[in-house]
Amino acid sequence: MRYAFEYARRHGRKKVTSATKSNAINYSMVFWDDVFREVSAKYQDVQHEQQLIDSLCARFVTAPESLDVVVASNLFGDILTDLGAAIAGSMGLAPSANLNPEGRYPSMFQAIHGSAPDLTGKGIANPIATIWSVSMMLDHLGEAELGKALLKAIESVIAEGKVRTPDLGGESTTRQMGQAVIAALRKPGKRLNPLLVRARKPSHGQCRNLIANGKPTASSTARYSASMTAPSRQ
Amino acid sequence: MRHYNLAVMPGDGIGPEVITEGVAALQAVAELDGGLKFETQDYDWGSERYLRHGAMMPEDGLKVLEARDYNAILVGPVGDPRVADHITLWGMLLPIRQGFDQYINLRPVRLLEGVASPLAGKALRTSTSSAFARTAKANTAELAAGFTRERHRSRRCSRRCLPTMARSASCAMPSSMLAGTGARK
Repeated sequence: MRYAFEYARRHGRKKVTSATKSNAINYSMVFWDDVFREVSAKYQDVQHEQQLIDSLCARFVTAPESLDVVVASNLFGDILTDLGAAIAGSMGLAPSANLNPEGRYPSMFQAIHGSAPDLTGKGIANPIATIWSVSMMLDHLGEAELGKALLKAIESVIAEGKVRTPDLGGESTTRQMGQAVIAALRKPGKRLNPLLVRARKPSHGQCRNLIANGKPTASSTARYSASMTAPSRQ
Repeated sequence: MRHYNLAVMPGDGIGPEVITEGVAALQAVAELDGGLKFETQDYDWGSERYLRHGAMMPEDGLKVLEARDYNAILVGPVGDPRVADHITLWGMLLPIRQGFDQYINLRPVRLLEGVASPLAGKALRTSTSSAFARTAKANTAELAAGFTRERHRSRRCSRRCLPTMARSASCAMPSSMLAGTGARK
């Protein structure tokens, strides 16, 4: 929960919504609500609300724009994110990150879709969820501007609509989709936004200070500065 | 030159196909940047390994990963019709998530321009009544919690039980989820 609020703060998001069911699950979810109340009180700058999981599912469909960051237990989160992937158009688009925010261990990045045995070997699976997971990995490694560039490339390929795997109604192959993203990434004239360099996320190992103390320590700030003055990119 | 060491596990089914594209995108990013190098090491952990050797990953798998001091792990989907789901999950992904204390599961959801809702046009193609599967909901399962409460009450310890529940609750919910939806980029 603390991570949800930290995430909202770091990414300029305004609100954290907690998925609950404390009316029926009358021990663990009541406790969940208690923790949410306690943690949210420490983040006065971030709005907070809680909603029962059933009506929250409906809200995902009817008013997703009214949500910003949602924090949920494992099971509710599992269900909500499949619903989210479905309303976004395809399970083939949805990425995920398994994070050890303290940076003591490596984090793991993975598309949320399954192994699709019926598609195996046909070369038509959508690789976007994996490439998007790679973008999240870049963010996590402290290469936020590159992660953003990769995500922009994904968005432009999808918006253009010329290359589409069958899950999106097209006939393109996995390889063609991957190559299209790389081509979009390499488009001449692409410049990385300097503002994003400042928004750089702490990399593996640097997160510890941020999370533990809630704000950057002198040493982590120094490392940020050092990383910001790294040679400029194209 | 910034240098990152990555463990890559293509996993099962379509995993190798999509991971190949993921790694290609990663190398393209490195090339575009010019000052960046990704070194990847592949691991054949997954259901094929289970069928051949009886384990999804080596017994000392986590130690192997830890010894190499990887910056991150890129993993494909894991699951195979020939292997029970609880074996594929508990044999590889959960030990990594738990062993490496990956207690946050971050899942962005974004409506992308150019992708229509999967329900668009469904009503035209099918009758409304058949467009949705009927969902059967177990209506009394929640009572399990109620029974527990009643039992605790009868032992006059409902209040004292709460801290215990608290601990087990925190154990039962090792990973939380975040989804950022919608407008903001």
